[in-house]
Amino acid sequence: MGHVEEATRFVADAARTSWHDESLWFVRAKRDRAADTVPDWEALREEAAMIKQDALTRLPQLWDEFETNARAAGAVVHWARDAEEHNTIVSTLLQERGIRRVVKSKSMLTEECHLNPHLERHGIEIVDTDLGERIVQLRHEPPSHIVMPAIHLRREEVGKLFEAEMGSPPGLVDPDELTAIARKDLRARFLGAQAGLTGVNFAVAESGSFVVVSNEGNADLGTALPDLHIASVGLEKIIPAQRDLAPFLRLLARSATGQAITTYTSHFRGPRRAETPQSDHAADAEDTEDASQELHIVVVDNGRSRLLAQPAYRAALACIRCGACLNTCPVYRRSGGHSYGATIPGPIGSVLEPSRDPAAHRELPHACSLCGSCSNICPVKIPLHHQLLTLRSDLTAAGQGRPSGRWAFALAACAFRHPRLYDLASRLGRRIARGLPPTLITRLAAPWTRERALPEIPARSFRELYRDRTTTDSRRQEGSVQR
Amino acid sequence: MRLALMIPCYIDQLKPEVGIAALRVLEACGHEVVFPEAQTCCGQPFLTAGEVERAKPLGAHYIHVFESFDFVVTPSGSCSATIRRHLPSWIEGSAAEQTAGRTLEFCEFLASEEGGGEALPTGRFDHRVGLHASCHALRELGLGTPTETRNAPIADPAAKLLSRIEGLELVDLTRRDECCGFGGLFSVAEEAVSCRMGLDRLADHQGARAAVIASTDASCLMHLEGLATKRGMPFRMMHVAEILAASCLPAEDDGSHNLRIPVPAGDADADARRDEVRDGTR
Amino acid sequence: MSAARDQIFAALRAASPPEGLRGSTSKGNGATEFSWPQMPENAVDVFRARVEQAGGTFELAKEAGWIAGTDWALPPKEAEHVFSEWPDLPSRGLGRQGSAAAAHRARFRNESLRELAPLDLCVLRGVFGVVENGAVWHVPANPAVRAAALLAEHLVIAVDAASLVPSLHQAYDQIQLEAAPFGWFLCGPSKTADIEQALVFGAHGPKTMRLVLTNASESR
Repeated sequence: MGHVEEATRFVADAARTSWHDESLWFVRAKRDRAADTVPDWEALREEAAMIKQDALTRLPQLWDEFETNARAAGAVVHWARDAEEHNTIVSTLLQERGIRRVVKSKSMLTEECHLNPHLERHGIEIVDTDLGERIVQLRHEPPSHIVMPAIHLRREEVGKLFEAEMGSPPGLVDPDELTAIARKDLRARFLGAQAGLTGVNFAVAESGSFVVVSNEGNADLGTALPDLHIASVGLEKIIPAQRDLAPFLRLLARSATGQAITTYTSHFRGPRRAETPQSDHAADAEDTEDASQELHIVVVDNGRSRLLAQPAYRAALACIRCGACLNTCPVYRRSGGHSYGATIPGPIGSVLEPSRDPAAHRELPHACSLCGSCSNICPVKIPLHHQLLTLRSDLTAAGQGRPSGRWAFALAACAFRHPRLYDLASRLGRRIARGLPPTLITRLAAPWTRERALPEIPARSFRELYRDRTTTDSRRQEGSVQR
Repeated sequence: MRLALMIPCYIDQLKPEVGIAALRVLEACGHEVVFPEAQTCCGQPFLTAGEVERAKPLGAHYIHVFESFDFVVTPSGSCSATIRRHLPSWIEGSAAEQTAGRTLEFCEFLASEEGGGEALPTGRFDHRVGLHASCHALRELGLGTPTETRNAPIADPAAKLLSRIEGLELVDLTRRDECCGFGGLFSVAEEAVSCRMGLDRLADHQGARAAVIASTDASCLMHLEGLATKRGMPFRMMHVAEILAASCLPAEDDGSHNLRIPVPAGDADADARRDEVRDGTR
Repeated sequence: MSAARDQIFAALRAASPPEGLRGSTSKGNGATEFSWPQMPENAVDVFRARVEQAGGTFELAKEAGWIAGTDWALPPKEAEHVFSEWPDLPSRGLGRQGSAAAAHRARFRNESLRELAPLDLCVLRGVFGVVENGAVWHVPANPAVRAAALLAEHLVIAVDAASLVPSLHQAYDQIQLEAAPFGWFLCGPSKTADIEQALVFGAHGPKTMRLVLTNASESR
């Protein structure tokens, strides 16, 4: 099913649509208030956009620099051309070490690569630790939002899920109590995990370090204990210098959730290193067994270099996955994330997904009323709605346009190119329409008329009235109160 | 000054009274207005449908029709945005750029130095009016300050023109610049979401006890009107030009401005109706 | 070098715009007209407000005796398992052996990190605070500190008032990550709003977080 069908189904539940819309508008309002606290908000957006656009012009240099510095810090850097290579690198690293249990923090890249099913096929238990991600993982469904994965669910649904999956008491709906249950369940999994998988919010070329942000602390706890940390990072995530982190981190949480900063903003530079025991403490021999962590960084292309090659869409690679364009999108709010049938929904997903797989996602650029709110809210100034507009015609040119109605557009365009034909055709059309029984017009004009009355069709067009008017001098005089 | 009136095709065919109102107001401001009959369509429907190749010849036609004028004024934020923002990318050369740059939305023009909007008599309009922001006037043409941005505020010319009118009360909306869901082809391609968006706008206006919904885009209003009429909601949809004509100019003998606007419902009624709208979407 | 790496770099080189089309080279804050925020006059008040907005509690304290004076969510006396970076509040009660030995071992041994799980209280020493967002920069001296800060039920961070910087820009001017493999900004308790946007503290990590601004009287 495409977006239209899924959205129609979503909207059919009017009360739930209202609730979904209001939940997201609440986040949008929080973002507005957070932006108010930054006096130079628009200049900060400009700054961030420029850093990204500059970085996107020299990715080879920056990644080369990153790799050198990350290796010097003790990390191992892997390169994956596509999702399959990424997944194989990860599963091989785990299998080589006999690892069976891993925890993963939120990473849209691993969603995009469908890492979970891959690891499960290899007999590895993978637990998503972000509460929202854990909820959708247990429901066997994808996240419906890139920052709030379970935003589409009511507390009652979570209660039922936890009752079935975690043995919580029936009828539990209080978010505090439900979170406490998940905390207990997940704490055990954190302690038992043999490896921690994370995404990357920003990779810094000059230091070979990377930053991961979270509110729950799951990325942090997931990597603080086990012997292995694997970080998956898309090619677009690199920025040149450490000081460049400032504008992005000032924008990210404010745009995403209206917070000034997330609870945890963790900077990883090389693997976790155990302290070297000093002789006076090294009472027992075990202490001298260094048990530092291994850090593997998997850099993934998976279509990004292809997007980079397209100047019209390159700017979309600046995305920092804050989700603000989803929250502000009047269509997303009223159709839900799952209606997009894509890893990344909403305006940014509607740009990125068709570029990856045009045939599967050609409908998405049309799931947009072109209101432009997304482009205004984007912290890195991606011209999202203009890209969606351009994409519509590019898809048409590539034979992936709207499947129906092309002949009508061809006819209309022909009429519009010939003013006399337009005049004649429209006069004829109006006359016919006025002569038909209303019920038939209503049927003919569906789907406009399912929920909407048709406007009354006037006897005369503007141009006819204008002709009359200009030939009647007296009316012309009367019309002008100036003279 | 040679001033051309550009009338969008849907106004020409379905809402000619909006075009007449715009024409009368411009004339009342002292302009000699020409309506070049060779004009047809700005190309927007083709652009948004992903048929930009079909829009390009219409852009060339537009330039051919309008390039000799000092200003092209159109009672549509959406069509002027198409011309201003997109036409120069369809057709190379200075004629395209200049003609596009001289194409102004109706209120934008009136509020400009050359527009002479202040010459209009103050007028009287004793109604509560909800101003529906046209996304394209607001976010493409920059006529006003969108709620997303934190730039220095820009005055919305439509609001400015309306605020001069005595008795007219502009109501405060909860979401003053949320899209109504028309979106051209979107209104039929994504019919369910489109209608839901429109109903949510109507509920906002109803909650603010607006009797008239005004806008710089008759296309948004047609969509909202269709939804309201189907549900018997007592709104009157008026283009800003119609309000100006109805309140500031003497009535024409065709009776086109014989306004029958119902008194807005009381608070309790409004709330009840809003719930009805929300629950009765489908 | 791997074939994948070569191919990716070749694709990136082919896709990158030519030199002439590139934007200005990043100078970080120099690329645009953007200016860094300055220290507000009421810096401590703003900092406090941000900490509280993030769900933390806040206290002003003189350096000497802040540990005795602070209003703990869990008083150290009542806490069975304590991990502390402050010498005047020793770690205690940790691990299977019921002593601080685990904390000591966890500095060297991964296996022992998990023994920190029953921690009631973790007390950290922040490097500096950021006024605009209420965050504190902290560099764990060893893996045990990092794990303890996440596993404990209650977190207390003390930071010197003189350390405050106005914004993240000034913060990154000070951060030298070369010295340590890990550093983080911490702001408030662990939290989630993943169930119907209802804010809940203690998603995985500490359920409370107390920020103690030390030497506050002198700096004000």
